[in-house]
Amino acid sequence: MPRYYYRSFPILLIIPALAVVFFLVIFPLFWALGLSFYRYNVLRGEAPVFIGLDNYARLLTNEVIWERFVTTITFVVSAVALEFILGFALALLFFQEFKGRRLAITLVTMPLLIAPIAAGIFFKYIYDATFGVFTYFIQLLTGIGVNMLKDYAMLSVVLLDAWQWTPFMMLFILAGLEAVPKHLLESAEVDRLSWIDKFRVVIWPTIRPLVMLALLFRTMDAFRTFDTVFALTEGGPGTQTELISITLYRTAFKYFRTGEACALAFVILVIVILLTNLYLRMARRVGE
Amino acid sequence: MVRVSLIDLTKRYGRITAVDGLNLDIPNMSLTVLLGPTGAGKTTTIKCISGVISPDKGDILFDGESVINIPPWERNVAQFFQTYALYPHLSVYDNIAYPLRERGVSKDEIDKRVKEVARKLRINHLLDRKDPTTLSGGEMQRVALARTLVREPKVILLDEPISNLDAKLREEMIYEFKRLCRELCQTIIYATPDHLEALAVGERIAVIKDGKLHQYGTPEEIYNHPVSKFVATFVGSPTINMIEGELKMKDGSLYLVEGGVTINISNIAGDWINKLSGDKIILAIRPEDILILKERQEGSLEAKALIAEPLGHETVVTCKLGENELKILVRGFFSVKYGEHVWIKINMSKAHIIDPKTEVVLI
Amino acid sequence: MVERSRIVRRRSPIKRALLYITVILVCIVFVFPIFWMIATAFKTRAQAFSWPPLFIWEPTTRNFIDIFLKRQTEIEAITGWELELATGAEIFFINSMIVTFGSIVLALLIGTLAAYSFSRYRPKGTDTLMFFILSTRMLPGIVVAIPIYFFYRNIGLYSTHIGLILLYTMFNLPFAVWMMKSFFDEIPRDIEQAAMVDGTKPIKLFYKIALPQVIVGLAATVGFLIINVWNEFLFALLLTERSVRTVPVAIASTRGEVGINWGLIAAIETLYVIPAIVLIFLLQKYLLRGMTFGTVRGV
Repeated sequence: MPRYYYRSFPILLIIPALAVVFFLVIFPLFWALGLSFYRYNVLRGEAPVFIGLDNYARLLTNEVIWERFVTTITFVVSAVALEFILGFALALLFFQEFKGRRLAITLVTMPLLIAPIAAGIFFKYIYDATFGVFTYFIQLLTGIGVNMLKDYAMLSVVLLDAWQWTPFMMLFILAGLEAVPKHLLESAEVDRLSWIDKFRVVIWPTIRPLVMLALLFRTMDAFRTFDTVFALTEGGPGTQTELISITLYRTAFKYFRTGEACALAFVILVIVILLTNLYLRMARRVGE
Repeated sequence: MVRVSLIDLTKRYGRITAVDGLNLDIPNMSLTVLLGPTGAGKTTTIKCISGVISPDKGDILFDGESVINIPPWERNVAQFFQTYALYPHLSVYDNIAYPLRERGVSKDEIDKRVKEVARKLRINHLLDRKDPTTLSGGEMQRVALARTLVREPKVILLDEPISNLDAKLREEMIYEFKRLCRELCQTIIYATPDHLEALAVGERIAVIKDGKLHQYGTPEEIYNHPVSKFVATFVGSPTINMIEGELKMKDGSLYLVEGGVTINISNIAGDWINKLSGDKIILAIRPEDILILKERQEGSLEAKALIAEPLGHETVVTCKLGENELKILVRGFFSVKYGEHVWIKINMSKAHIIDPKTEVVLI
Repeated sequence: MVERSRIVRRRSPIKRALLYITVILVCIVFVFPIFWMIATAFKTRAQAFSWPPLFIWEPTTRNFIDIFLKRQTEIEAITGWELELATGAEIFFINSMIVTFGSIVLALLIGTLAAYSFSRYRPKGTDTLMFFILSTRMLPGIVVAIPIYFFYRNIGLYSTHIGLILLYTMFNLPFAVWMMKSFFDEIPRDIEQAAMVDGTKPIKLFYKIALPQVIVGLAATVGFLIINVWNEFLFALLLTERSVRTVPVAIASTRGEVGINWGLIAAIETLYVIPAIVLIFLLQKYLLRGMTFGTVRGV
């Protein structure tokens, strides 16, 4: 579009959006950054005390915090891996043509519509050792009575996450599969390529961006998981499933150690940014 | 009805220069054709004139006044887009009526004009269609044309407006364009890559390649007096014959020597020899300016006939002269046997000499 | 239109049966918990606590009535909710709807304008800005939650509809901008140029020419945004109380007591998920298209 006709018009269009972003993201971010350099506890009613990088130092040398990170990473890796594998398998399954396909896809994606917090609460009932229907089925199949939330807490949490988010992965991968140009698939058939070769040469290049994107989104979201785990186990039993997000919540809104919480929040932020960059770089290399 | 002047028009897209210092003075009430191959810069030029693209350098004048800072919606031009650019969310009627509505023309007047244009283009039965994307290519083109012609602007810009129409409708549209120009005193600028169409339509033709103007003149000038190698080859069907060879002087006569063939070109010797940048020249001659004979005559050259393609009123005969393949136009039917020996006589008064390096036509 | 590829093969009956069985099993796995939830909604407290779990029981609609009819103190006793108003749970549903609807409308308004500008005018720094807007989604919400909590309390936006709407608008903005931009990108330039030549000024170009062509995109975007915001918990928890509370927070407010009435909870969850299901069902086709277009092109 010719530039010299409407100088301010394009800028005017963007301003509302930028204003929202500024006031609700940038400004709070900097406020939080600032707060992280102070010792401040709302409950104590004292004025904030500047302590520089103290909060950070204490955090990074705190064994407990590192433990939480390990817990979180364990969760993220297990959940995303499971969701990826299952999601891929399901995508391949639903890539076939069969009667009722549409309906089946709709049914399978229903978990995505349940509020994570609601799912967390209700799975508490399902996993319950005394009344839970999950416990019931396990007993039917293996004769063992399990207490999921006590003995297999991490597994329970991962399974719940997988239940809710595998359909997400499946949808992305399925969309990718459907975007593969039909004539390429057909000529591969004509050329009698084996399944592996067909996959490598025709399918993978097309679905790669979507797969990578799905993995990226899911990993980032998994890192931020709060609702489901908070509802299901509250981080327990003990601290077995306490994700870093739960720790942060407690530090900020239960103990009101605000300065410390802000520092922790930024540490998490930096890690997420690093991970994302690392991820994008790896993704680019996979492409070559 | 205005005079359009393009001064040093330049537009670049990244590393590609679409229009390169174009200078063109189009008189008012004329029908000018921008002729050039795809990518020559015709569409870019037209879009600069209508104002939807702003050039990097140069100026555009309407009747001597610069319009370059006037936005398209105030320039009062009408443009037909090569891609039709119909409004998919409006009905056919609304598409055609749109420009009039934007200018606040009265409802009755709009109705009258839309129906009239639709009638001329034979699309009045389509006026009620809600979705223009369901029309055939030719129908869409006519709707777009209708939208362009429904106004009375200062300049009408047509970017390949009849490419998808059947022969009869093309003829009618060409007549209609000429009439618009003559009777309604419109200035029309018309772009096409088809040289036959250009010759049929234009009062004046501007031949453009790679964003540069090669020649601007009447059809006769373009055809009989091309200024560059490109103009000579681009216009004319079958393409003009080119024989490239060395210029040699022998016994006071001038010869073109090439791969075993020697052509005496003393008749057309002249000052141009001094303007040559090298030893080589190209002799260019149109297929209709070569005579083909079955027996030897004075001043003729021996050649081998290959194929004859009859066109009805003419026949295109392909001959081999030395290493060169020549196409010759013969009246009526003319059959040859493959490899038959024939004699050809070149009408030197119609021949052109081209400098191979500068690609300038010297005579 | 790209032709969609799918594997259609003649299968042996055995393979066919296997395929169908697998599909059915998969569907059961994913649907069962939801089905169980809906079933539980029709159970009394006693029935919900029986062992082995009841697959056949005498259903009751008591829970659904209770949600809306039982007034303050009674509901408090059962669930532990703090209700200031003497209403049933419908207030939570209303709040959720207000907040979701408001934030979607606002996000679409602001986001579409910005998306149009990015798409057609490409002001300097478009790519950076777009990436930046998207990256706000990568933020762990909690990072921003702390300052916003204080911020809102100071400004008086705490526990107000507007406060939450504004915040959710921020959540919706990245999606809205990215998706609408990709839809605007698809409009051929020539059409807008033709409109310009025909006498349309820039503002009119937006609402008369560009907008009508992206209606489909708007539908897809709305679908996405609803999923985004309808189920949000953390910020609603932090920033609302009592009369402004949304349903997700209400569900979670049940204390971990022994005598929880799972039937009642299940009933609320069931009611809450119905609008989402209905909507997704209606917008199915648009969503899939929107997802691939927004992402394949955008990143």
